[in-house]
Amino acid sequence: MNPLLLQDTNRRLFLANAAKTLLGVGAAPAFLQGIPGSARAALGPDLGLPERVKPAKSVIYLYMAGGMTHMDTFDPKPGHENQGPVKAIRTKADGVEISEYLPRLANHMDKAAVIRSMTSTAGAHAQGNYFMHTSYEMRSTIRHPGIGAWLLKYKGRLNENLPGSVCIAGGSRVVGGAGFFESAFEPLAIGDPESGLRNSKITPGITGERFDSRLSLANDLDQEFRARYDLKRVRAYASMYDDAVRIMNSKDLEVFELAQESAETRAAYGDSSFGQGCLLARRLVERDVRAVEVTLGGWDTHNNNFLAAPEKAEILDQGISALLDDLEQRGLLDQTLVVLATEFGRTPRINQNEGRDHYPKAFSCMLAGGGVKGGYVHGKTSAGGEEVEESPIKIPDFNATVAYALGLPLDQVLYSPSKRPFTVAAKGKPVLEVLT
Amino acid sequence: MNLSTRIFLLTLCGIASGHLIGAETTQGAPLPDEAIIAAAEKIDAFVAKSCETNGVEMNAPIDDEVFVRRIYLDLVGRVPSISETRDFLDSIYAAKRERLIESLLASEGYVSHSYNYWADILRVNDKLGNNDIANEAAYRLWIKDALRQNKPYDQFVTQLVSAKGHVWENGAIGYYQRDRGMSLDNMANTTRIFLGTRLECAQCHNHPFDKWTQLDFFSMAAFSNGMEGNRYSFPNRSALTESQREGKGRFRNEQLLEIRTRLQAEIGTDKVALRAAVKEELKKLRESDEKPKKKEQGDESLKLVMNELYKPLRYTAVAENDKPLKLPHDYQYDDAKPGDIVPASTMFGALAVAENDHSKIETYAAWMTSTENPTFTRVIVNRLWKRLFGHAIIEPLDELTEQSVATNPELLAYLEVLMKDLKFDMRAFTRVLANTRTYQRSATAGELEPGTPYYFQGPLLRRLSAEQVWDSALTLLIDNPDQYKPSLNHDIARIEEQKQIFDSLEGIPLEDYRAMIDRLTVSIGDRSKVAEEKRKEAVAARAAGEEEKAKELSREVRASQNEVEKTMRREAFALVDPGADQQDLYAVFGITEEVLRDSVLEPGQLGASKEEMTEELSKKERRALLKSRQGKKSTDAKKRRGAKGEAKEGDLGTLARASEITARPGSFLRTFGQSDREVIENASDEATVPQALELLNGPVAAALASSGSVLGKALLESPSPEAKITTLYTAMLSRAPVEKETSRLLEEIAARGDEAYEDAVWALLNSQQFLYIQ
Repeated sequence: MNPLLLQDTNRRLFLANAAKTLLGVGAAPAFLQGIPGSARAALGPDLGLPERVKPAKSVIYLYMAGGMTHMDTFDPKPGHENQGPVKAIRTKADGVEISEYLPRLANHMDKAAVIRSMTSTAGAHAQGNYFMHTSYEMRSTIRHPGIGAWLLKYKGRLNENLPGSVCIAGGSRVVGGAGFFESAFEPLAIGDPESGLRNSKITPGITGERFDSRLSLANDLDQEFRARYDLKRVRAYASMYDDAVRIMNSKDLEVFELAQESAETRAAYGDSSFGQGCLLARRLVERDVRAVEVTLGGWDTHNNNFLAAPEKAEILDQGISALLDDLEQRGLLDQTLVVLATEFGRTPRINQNEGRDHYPKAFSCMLAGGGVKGGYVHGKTSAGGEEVEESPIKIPDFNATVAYALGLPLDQVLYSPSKRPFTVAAKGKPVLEVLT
Repeated sequence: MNLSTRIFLLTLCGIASGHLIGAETTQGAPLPDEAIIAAAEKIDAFVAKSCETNGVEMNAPIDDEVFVRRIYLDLVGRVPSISETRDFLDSIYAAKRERLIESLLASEGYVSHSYNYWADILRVNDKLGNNDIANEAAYRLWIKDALRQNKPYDQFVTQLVSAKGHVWENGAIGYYQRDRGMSLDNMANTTRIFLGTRLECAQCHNHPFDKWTQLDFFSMAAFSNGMEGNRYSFPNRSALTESQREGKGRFRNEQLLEIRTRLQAEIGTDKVALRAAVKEELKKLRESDEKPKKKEQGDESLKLVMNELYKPLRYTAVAENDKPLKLPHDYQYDDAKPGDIVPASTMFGALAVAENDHSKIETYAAWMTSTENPTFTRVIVNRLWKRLFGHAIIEPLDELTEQSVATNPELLAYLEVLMKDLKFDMRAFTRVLANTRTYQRSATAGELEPGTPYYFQGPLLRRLSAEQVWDSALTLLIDNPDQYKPSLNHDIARIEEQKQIFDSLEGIPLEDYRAMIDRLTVSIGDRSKVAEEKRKEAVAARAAGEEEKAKELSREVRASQNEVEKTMRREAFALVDPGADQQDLYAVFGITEEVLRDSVLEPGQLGASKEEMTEELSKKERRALLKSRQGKKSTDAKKRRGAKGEAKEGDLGTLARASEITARPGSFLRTFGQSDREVIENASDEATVPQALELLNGPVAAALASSGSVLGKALLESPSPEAKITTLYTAMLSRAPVEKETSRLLEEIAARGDEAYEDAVWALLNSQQFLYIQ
């Protein structure tokens, strides 16, 4: 059937029909369900790419909210007047220099590829953030899915006791969540990395025996209602309760207990929400969670850039270095793609408040692990960091690279409930040079 | 406050309520007039005929128990309290259903429940998705006021779509502030919400499945394109900058003009080339001895002063301008060229004709809401029908096309006529529907597959919305929750603050204004220098590798810059008198003395925790709030990250109705699918594991079973096990238990003693019948 002709009723009915749920039952790919017509998906842009051999299994997405200054992190311009007081340092990768604000990460640059030629036109926070997370422009008529949702949509969940996608320290608004996909693809949002899965423990004072007896009382009292209304959505609740109880009893919940880690490990990640979030991310991917996003905010350094940026960079440096180290030691680095992204860079010219303003025209992102070519730099900006001089990479291209590394079909079109066509990275072309 | 303290306070405050709401609702209201009954009968006849034609058997009529729970949930958004249920069931009046319907529609609970519905449609999210604290508060208050007044729907829509003015005059400007900077999206949303026409596709290209072209879209958008929520012009400010420009700036401007004229003669008028050349020339000048007149220190300070003073006012009004709408640069069709100015024109129905001195937007609103506009009435009729029956007569109701089929065309046509006859009175219309026999039939037990027609043999079985679940739990926790509005005074204070800041800058004579700005500019200049010195020291310290010292100094720099801003605002807003406009604002937002009086909980009233009672601000506290907010750095909002954005585990949150709370991700409401209000009608009624976990282990279950809750207290007061079981069923399911249920619970009580009552509360909360409207 041509999906364009498929007449769907409305989103809610159709969602109720696709009985997939957050932390839900099935571990099988949800890709053939839910989106109208996706079973016979239309052809999208033909990029002529071979299927990715050995794609990364999980993604850890580190988001630098506020717009990370590229010149003071991954694209230093030693000696140029735009650079201010920041020096460049050598790294473990030959010929790759980064800012002195990231000394620990310098020891891991052999695992990472830096893209210095990112370029965009979205210069406001909300729009830039949205664009980076979804590859589509922000509209108030639709919400697009983020990379975690696409990954789950195509590849399914690997551990049915844990959410497929988790968002840590992201604040009150999740950007790039389930979008127009079913709410089963919504990431579990965790504000404080140490808070764990909400309501997953029996209320203090209630014994397991009493809990069970309550459950059977509830079942008994509800028998008649359930018999009278033997409907899919009523039955869905019964199965949700089974799942909830199974999850409560699952050993996988220990994943949230950061206290199980040694004091040294915890200290290595840094005493910050971001650092501990990176540690939780490692624990989650270790248990086969597909996508984890950790946010580090505060990069909006309009004032006092050279005082504020080093403080942010230090938090980043600790967290990401410990993460790469840890993933490598545990043999997880090959199967875990680590992405470092931000909405835009910051003006190379230092403003009157010793700060840097928004600068989407040229900025940097970084990739590591899962099939990424280590010690590699892609693209180049001009001497003053103002223009992209080589190999400009647009945000959809960057996201196509991420999606391709994860083995997602870039060509495949899925339809929103309003029957508009979308692809995982908005027809971006992957930067194959950064992948092995 | 933690849970146990809260429950303790609940217990402490507990006194017998003895309120008579239930009694009033069944006895006080007049009988529905004959027209209402006649209309209801007509609807029943259309439905009966359609069911007969399609061979569908109608569902059985419901008894009073099912009716009372359903009607409370449908009209006021919560289950009835124990006494409300009993009063209704015990009443012997023949027309008690009609009376209850009427009085519920007139209650504050109706406002609360309907607000939730419209907030999802209008996407009234936290700070309107920007940082619009006052705009959001005003928008919420405006919508509630419109519902409370029962503003006719056509007026409601007209006032939203043509909303202009200051936030302290007109809360409806939220309609444009919500989509600020996205006027095309706003247009697509408008046609979807009010005309049931989906135009998002035509925004970028001709609609692939419908008849609309991109030119149609832009012609419509030309009506609303001038609605501007970003404000740049202020009389005093403009007057001052004008004179500045004439003074200091003249030399610079003359120099620039000279360069431009000279280069234009060489290059021609190509804008891009010219701009580049001018830039180059200025750069040369800077490097030569002939420097352009350097900016004076005073200029910088003035800029800083102006930016800081006006920052809070930037988004406080919506105005309509004449900005022409041009076709996009990639316009690809033959009917026009990229960059063409598009004249405003409507895409269907009668042409919009400007009357008298109507502006574009007013003309547009009049066209949209006219009784001649076929889809305007059709959409609202379907909406209100769907709210009670769980399914619209045309689905989806906001995507009407030429192929759309009504499952009962005669019924739909009649409802449209009825709505017009009722002059778009949403309450009266709902009253008719609730009085039909069709509505008062049992919920359909069969599966309705998507895309299959439904003939309304009764309402569908519906899951409670997130708000209904929360508000129902609240009804079991605190007494009479409908009037309580813990954030009302805060909301008014926030709106008032905007007005006062505006008045203190723009409401004073120009001479005073000039003097104030001069004074501030000098004092800021001096203070900035101090901060500047510190900053240099800090950078030097970092360069020298003294990290700790650098961090310490950075903190001082930030503190001293904060101080600069704070001082400035304090001086500038010295004239601000918090509370002075409070009364006026209550009037603007329709807060009558009665509403205000009922909005707070009296000390001793059950459910009032200490924390909530302190929400009522004294004038002194209000002043402190205003001052602290003025001193706040604007970047604070961006720092609000991590745990703060999310609801805390185990915290019940504010014990007020959903319409009075901003729900955070992870909160009870959001867990149960309350819309995030990012896109239109985004609420969900899907089953999810976090919902089960919330009810199994969350704070609501514990609170309900505690002796401090309304339910807990009623259980304590019930004399025998049988009476307690009856109380429990009356409270949670608005019915008496059947024999099987009583015996099962008596068994449990025999085995576990008093503990069994807590278990029973928990079990019913975790039963699915609690979550559905039968």
